[in-house]
Amino acid sequence: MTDPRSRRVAAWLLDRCLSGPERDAVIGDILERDARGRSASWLWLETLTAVGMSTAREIRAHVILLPAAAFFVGFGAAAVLGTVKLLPGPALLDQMLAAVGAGWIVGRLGRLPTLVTFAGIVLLTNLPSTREAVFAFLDHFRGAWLLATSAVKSLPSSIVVGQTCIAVGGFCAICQRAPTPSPPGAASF
Amino acid sequence: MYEMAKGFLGGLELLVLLAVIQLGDESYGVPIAEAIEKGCTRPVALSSVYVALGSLARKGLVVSRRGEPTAERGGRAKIHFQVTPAGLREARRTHRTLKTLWEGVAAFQGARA
Repeated sequence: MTDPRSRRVAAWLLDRCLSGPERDAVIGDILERDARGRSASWLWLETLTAVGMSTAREIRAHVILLPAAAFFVGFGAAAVLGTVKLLPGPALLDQMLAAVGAGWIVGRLGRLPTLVTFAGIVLLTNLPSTREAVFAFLDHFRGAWLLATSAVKSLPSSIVVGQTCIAVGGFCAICQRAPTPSPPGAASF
Repeated sequence: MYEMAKGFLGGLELLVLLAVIQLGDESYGVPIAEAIEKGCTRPVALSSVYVALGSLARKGLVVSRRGEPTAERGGRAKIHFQVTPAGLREARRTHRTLKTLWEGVAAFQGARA
């Protein structure tokens, strides 16, 4: 069994990042196997695999709705935050703050899958190889194109800085949320 | 014929179904994963076991019921699984199919399993 602190942190992370009717059972199974003498690396590998699989399943289940929600909420927040000059000094600080704020709002209104989708959309608009294709697609929807153009200017152009700021903001919001209680009664798969 | 192909079990699904049949009433995530690891001698992630169980449940091959929470599990309830008659039929059908195909592979004729 790993140390109690690692167990608590892993359970806390799983509580906030997993979804679906089997969430409690997965967390309980991981803790039960860990209690039977597993290593810390096993615990963290299982935890991260469970979070990754749950997130991927949610994204696959809402393949239209989730990107649309992430796009409008995230880019909308970035576009609005980008119009405000909050910090003295270089524009990069304001862009970083806009990215943290947009990540926080997406994480607050959605969950981890929405945040991951938003980070993915921002990445696609930052990568030179995909940027043109994304904007060519958005050109079919004039409002979305304008929103994306305005939002991209508000966010850091550096991929590493942008993604880190979104992750920090989103993760803070996810941590603040109480975990969704599992439905009582029979498990419905 | 193409419709039939949709009904075939995936690799992990078949292993999970066989583990559920083998374990009977004691069938939940931990013993299922342990039974697969014992048979395959390689680790299997608990979350992938649940993905396979979810898929089996949607196909009507297993049914689930929620158990009682325990302290060892941090107060989380188990989900117990039980094979359905359709699940048993599917396991038998897959066994027959694999046996027929296996016997037809010339490279394995006379070789030890």
